[in-house]
Amino acid sequence: MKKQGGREVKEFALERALLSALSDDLALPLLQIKTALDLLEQDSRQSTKKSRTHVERLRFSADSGLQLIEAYRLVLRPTPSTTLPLEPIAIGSVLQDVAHRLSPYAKHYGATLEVDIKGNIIPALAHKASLSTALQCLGVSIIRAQAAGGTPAKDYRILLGAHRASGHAVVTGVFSNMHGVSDRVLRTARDLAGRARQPLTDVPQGATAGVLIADLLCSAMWHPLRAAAHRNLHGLATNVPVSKQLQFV
Amino acid sequence: MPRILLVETDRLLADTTTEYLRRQGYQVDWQADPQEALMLADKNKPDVVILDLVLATHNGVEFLYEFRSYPDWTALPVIAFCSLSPREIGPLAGALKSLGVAAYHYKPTTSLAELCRSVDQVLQPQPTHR
Amino acid sequence: MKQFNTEAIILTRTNYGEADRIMNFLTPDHGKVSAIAKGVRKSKSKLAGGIELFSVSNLGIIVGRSNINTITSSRLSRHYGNIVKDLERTTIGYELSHLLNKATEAAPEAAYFALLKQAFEALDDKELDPHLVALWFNMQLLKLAGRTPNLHSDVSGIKLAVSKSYAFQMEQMRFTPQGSREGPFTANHIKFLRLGFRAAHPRLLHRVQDGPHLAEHTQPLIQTMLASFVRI
Repeated sequence: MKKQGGREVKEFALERALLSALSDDLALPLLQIKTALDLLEQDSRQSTKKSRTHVERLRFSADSGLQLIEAYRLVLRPTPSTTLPLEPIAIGSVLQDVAHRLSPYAKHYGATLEVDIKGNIIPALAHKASLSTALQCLGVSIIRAQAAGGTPAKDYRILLGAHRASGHAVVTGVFSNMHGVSDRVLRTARDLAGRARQPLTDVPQGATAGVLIADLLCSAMWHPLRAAAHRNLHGLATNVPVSKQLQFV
Repeated sequence: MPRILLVETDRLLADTTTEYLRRQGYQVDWQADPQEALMLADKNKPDVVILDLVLATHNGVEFLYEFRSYPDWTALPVIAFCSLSPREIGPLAGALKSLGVAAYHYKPTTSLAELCRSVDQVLQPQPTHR
Repeated sequence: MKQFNTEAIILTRTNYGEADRIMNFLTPDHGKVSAIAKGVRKSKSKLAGGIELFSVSNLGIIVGRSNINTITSSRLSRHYGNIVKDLERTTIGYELSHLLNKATEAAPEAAYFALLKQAFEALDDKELDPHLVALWFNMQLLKLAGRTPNLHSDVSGIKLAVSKSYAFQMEQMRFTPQGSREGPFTANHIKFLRLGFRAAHPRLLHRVQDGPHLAEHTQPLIQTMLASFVRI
C-alpha cells in the first residue's frame, strides 16, 4: 500500500510538472500571434475596416489563451500546503474590474453584461488576484457556454452579482439565463477532470477549464464553487467571509 | 539613430519585435545567446538593452551581473521584457533594481507599442539638477 | 616574491582594460583577497572558465609590488551548476555573496568562507527551498557577528511561554509578551528561530512542518536585525 501511495505521489508530481511546462509552451505561440498582430496593425496596407476587424479578433483569441494560462499559473502554488495571503477587499470593486475585463468577451459573443450588488456589502476577506481571476474565468466560460447552448441570442445575459448570505459571508459569482450547471453536475465535473473530454456536459470544450480553474482558486481561498441564484438568474458562486476587522469601522 | 540590443531566445518573437522597433526608427541587434550578446554589445555599442530574464544557456540575471561588471556598461539602460509574471518577479525585484533594470514589462500584457514607449522614455536625457 | 595557494569563492569582479579582470575573493585562511586575473577576457567564454561564480576554485596567487596580487593559476574545485539554472537561485546566490561581502571586514574568519560554501551547496540542491536557505544564511551571519537574539527569556528575564504571543524588542534583541493572540510571534515562530540559529545546515529547517510559512513570517525580523546590527 505504501509503495502504491509513493508511486501515485510520483505520478502526480510528474503530471504537475508536465502541466506547468505545457502552460509555458502554450504561452509562446500565443505571444507570437500577439506580437505579429501588433505589427500587422501598424502596417498601413492593412488599414481596411475588414482587416482591422480580423486583427481585433485574432488579438482577442491570443489574449483569451494567455489569460487562461495566467489563471492556471495562479492555481499552481509551490506546494499544496502553501497558503494564499488573504486581505480585506471591496467585492464591488472586484466585480467592476472583472466586468471591464469581460466586456470584450461579452461584445464578441453578443451578451449583455451587468454588475449587481444586493444590499450593503462590507469588505470581505479574500486573495484579490485569485478571486478576480476566478470570476473572470467563470465569466468567460459561462459567456461561451451560453452562446453555444440553446439560449436565443437576444437573451444572452451575464450578471456579476454579490449578496449577503446568512452568517458572516458574501456570496459572489457569475449568473446567467443558462441552465444546466447544478451542484451535482459540478461534483461530476470535478471527478471527471483530466479523464473526460467534456466533464461539464453543457459547457462546450474550450470553456470547461475556466470553470475548473475558478473552482480550484476559490477552494484555495475558502470554499469551492456551488450552484447559486441571484436576481432570478442561475449560476456558480463562492462564499467569501466578511472581514471582521472592518466590521466596527 | 539609437541602437537597441535585443536578447531574446525565440526567433519568431525576436523577428516581429525587431521589425516593429525598426519601423519606429531604431537600429536593432538581436542575439539569443547571452554570451554572444555580450560580444555583440562590445562590437556595436548599444544605447539600450531589452532583455528576457529566462534565457537558454545562462539566465538573464547572470547576464546582467556580467554586463554590469564592464565599466562602460554600469549605467546603460536595461529593460526587462519577459514571461515572468509580476508575482514571480516580486522576489527578484530588489536584485533587479540593484542591477539597474530601468523598466519591467510582462510579455503577455504588453504591446509592442508600449515597449517602444518604454524605450523612448529610458533614452530621454535625464534632467540635471542645479 | 610571496606566493601562496588557496581555496577561494568569488565575491565580486570588475573588468579592467582590454582583457583583464579584478576579482575579489573570499578565502578560508587569508580573508578577502583582491587579485588581477590577466587575459581571462580574451578567451571566447567570458561567462565560464576556471574562475566561475558560485564555485570554489583553487588559486595560485603571487603578491606583487604594492601588494597587488596576480592570479597565476586557477583550477575549478567545485561548481554549483544548479544555481545558475534557476533564476531565483541565481538571484539569491548573488544576494548572499553581496551580503557577506558587505558584512565582513578585510580579514574575516574561516567560518565565513565555510558559511558561504555551505549556502551554495544548499542552493545547488534542488530539493531545498532557496528562501529557507537564505533565511538560514542570514541567521548564521547574525550569529557570526555575535548578534544572536535571546530566544529563551523575555525582556524581563522570564522564560518564554508556549501559551503566550510576543512582539520583538529590537534594541534589546529580546521578545516582549503581548496578549495571548495579539503578538505577531508565537511559540512556533520562536521554536523555528531557535532551530534556525542552532542548525548546522539549512536542511534542518526543511523538516519543519509549515516551514515556508514560518520562514515568510520570520524573514522580515531577521532582515531588520541584520540591517540594525550588521554592517550592511
